[in-house]
Amino acid sequence: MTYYPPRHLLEVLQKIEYEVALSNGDPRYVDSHQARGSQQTFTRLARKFGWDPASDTFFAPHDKHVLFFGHIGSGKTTELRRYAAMLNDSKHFYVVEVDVLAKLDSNNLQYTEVLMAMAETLLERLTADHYSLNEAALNPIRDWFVSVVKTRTTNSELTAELKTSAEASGGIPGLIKLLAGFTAAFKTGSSHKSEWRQEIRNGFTTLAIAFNDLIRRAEAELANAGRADRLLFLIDGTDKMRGEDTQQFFVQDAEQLLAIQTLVIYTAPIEMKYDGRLGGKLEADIVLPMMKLEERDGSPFEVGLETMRKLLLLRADRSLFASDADLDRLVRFSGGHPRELLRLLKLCCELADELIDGQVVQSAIDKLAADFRYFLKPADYALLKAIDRNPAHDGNDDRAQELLHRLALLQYNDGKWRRSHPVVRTLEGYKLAITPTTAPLADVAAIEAN
Amino acid sequence: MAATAFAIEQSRRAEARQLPGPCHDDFLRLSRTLIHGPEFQWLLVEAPNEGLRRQVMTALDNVLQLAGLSSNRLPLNAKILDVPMLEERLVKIARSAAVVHVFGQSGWFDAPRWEAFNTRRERLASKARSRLVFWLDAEAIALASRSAPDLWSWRGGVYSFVPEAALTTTTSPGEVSPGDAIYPDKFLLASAIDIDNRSMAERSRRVVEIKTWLDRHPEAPDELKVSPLSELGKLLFSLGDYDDALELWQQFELPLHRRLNDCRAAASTQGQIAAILQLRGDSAEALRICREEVLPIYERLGDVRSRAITMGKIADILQQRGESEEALRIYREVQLPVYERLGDVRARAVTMGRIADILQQRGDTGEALRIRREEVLPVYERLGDLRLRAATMGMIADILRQRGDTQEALRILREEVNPAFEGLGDVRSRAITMGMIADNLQQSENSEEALHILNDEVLPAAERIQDRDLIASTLYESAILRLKLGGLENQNDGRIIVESLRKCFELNCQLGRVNSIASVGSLFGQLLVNTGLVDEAIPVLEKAAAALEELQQLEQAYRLQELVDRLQVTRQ
Repeated sequence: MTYYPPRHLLEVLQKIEYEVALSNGDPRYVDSHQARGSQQTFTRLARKFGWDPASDTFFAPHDKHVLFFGHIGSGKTTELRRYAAMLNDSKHFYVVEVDVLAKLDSNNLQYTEVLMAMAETLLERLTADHYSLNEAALNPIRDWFVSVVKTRTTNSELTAELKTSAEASGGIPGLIKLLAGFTAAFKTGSSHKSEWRQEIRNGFTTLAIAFNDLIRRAEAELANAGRADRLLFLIDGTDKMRGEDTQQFFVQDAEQLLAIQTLVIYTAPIEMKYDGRLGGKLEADIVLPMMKLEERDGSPFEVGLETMRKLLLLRADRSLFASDADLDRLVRFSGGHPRELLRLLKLCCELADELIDGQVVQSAIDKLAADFRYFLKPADYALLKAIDRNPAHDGNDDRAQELLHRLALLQYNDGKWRRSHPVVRTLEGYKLAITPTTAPLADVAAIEAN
Repeated sequence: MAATAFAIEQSRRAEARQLPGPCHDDFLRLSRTLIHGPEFQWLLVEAPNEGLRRQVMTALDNVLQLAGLSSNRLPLNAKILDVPMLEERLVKIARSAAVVHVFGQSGWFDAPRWEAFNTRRERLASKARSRLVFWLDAEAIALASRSAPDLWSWRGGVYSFVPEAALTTTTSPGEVSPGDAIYPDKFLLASAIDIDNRSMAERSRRVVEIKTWLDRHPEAPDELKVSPLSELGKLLFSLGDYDDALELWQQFELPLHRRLNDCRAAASTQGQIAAILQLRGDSAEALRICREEVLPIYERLGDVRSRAITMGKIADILQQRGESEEALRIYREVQLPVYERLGDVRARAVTMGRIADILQQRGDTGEALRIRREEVLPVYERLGDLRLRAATMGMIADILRQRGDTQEALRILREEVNPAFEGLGDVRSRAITMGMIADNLQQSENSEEALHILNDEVLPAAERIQDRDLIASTLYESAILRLKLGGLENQNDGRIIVESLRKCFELNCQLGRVNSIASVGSLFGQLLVNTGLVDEAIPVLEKAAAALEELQQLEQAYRLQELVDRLQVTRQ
């Protein structure tokens, strides 16, 4: 069915839902590989897992744990879903997407429950795709549960239920039920959560061996069926854990993650890439870059501009804009960040009577800029201005990370250079900020001129 | 049912016009996204000023209601212990409300709580599918952007309702005596409020004049501000803006008197604050203020008359709380001797009127009638106080109605009371009189005419003076009358009953009348259930249950909550 963008402002407004990532095949999706200046991102990611998309050469590593960074709202989940589809379609990988936010309590998340969710989702996927595993494949992991349940003295409801499940059920459905009991308990914040975590930690080596065995047998089954050579887990949502949980998960417990010998992609918060605490245990060099709208020297990057225009025109019909100039101005002030573009569009819909004209666009820019005023401090403006004068400025201190995290600072070309958010540059604080350098400044006038 | 798009747009703009100038644009933005935006939104509103926050919220709810969007409020206070509990409440409320206003205690959201809230982003989006409007101060918004960055990135917008700087340092009332309003005598309440006979429009214009003056003279000396602030408070009170009046007294007038070391004026303001609190059902706090803050000042000053008046207010509160014996003792043993000693015949007559009220309530209509006829009425006649004479005649008619003599009651109301208030141009008191006439007609089996008076005389008058209390009570009485007339058997009447109760309930919610929210909400909610409007019934019943809980009527609250739970299950 042909897709038509909304032709009424209120309809546009109604359909701007920040919480909804575009699913694969959504007509509003726009291919942004070129615009992001990172055509290599997917290739690099695929190659990490042993597949060269260009030549279809494939040789997978034994195990690989890759972190995937990106700005909040930069299209990370949307892009990852695309990547997952391409990896899955290659027939080299059987991609298992685990949405930890849906399955677990992200407010208090540890590797123990992520492990359970991985196993549960794998079995669910296999069942849904009509693959079966024999009892020998399932026994090690079930035996682990049985032994843990037997040694536990706590006569809790959960224990009793798990005991029943462990002893009574067979096949994949039985094991799914067993695992689901765990993840549900973890999600609802059961009072036994910490006890079970301790059990998993105590018996982790055995459990890891059992899980690895399950993974190998599943891969064998998939290979026999000619479906895929390797399993690849995509863990989405791990970029949204609490600060201390993030540290615990990716730093302190990295060894435990690595003990699961498989291929995994974890989403991770961008500031983590630069804070130097990862210690090289997990692969941490893939960043989903922003769509760039200009080159580092300030000259326009037409591919980026065109991509963002397309994105905008799939959300709002061209007839809603008074002129192309108004449309382009919105694009330029988004900084190449899709959600920021949507935010500007939403503001326009709130402000306009019938048409999005120059005055409405200016008001939208002012309103979005005002949001930044809530948290930017004089020193932030000075730092942003300094970075704008020298985009390669590494600025990896806490303040720069904070600015990156809150989108006051955007980075392009896989993080090779950075620039402040264009709307921030309209703020008086920015204009008045004093920096020591006299290098040319990529300011609002430059944006306007483009 | 939602109104037409045109009507909604008209209302949106009309409400925006009523707000202070700087709020206009953001109100239009916020109302548009609430009405036309997606089902789930997380919206941040900077509203550091409590009065303005209430004003905007009320204006917003008026528009939302017209658009067919239900709203509910979730105050952040000590009862919400942590973020999981907040999440649970949000999810629960969102089931029955399209818009949830979250507001309250400044500082409830600290960094750890925002962090915890941040991690619930996806769950909120999937389980609390409502427009969640968080009313915060700038500090909390800044903290949200830092400690809840993922949620921040999902913000539907940030809207700002900050009062004009000068206005925040202005307003405060003076010598209005809303304390009179706590008297159970409705005519005395009327006389206290309606001393100002200017029309609604004139009073509204005067409010703007005073605010503008204060705005332009922020540096004016405190002494110069006392008078306009006093008038402003009186106007706000007369306009039914109790929230604003209360804020004015609490935030501006009281500190002003304290700065001027005028402890007597400060005590008077405290008394006014207590009166409003009592009107809103917070009798415990009203009582505390009278006993612990006001009374000691008058005792220290040796002002026996003011002390006696304050004791009278305490007695009024006690009577309202059902402690009529102690109230009677205070009227008789504390107030009367003072007024008699001082020779204040008017104050004595007022106190005798209170005593008659209690006796009437207890069923001792004979003694109540004697007091009013022999001890109260002659005093007002001698003093030539036409308003109080008419009010007393009205109360005499009320006793006669209670005793079954509706003919004489009707005669008094029609021939003596009504013409007196008409002559005085007292629109509100006349409307109340007409309401009492309707009561008598209803009692004498002439319900049709009673209904006609309520709908064609009382309600239009109440609407003209925008007396929301009177509108609400008239709608309620009218709905009850229709019910008695078998209104539910007739589709059109049934619809009118539901609409009347709906509006009455909303008004009481806006006014924060806890008692009425409980009683009207219980009836209205159950009526909605009976007519199959379960989705609408649930939030109404929830509010009624909360009000009952606040009034410590726990058993009834529990029963209503049980009903809500059953409905929730059925609906699922």
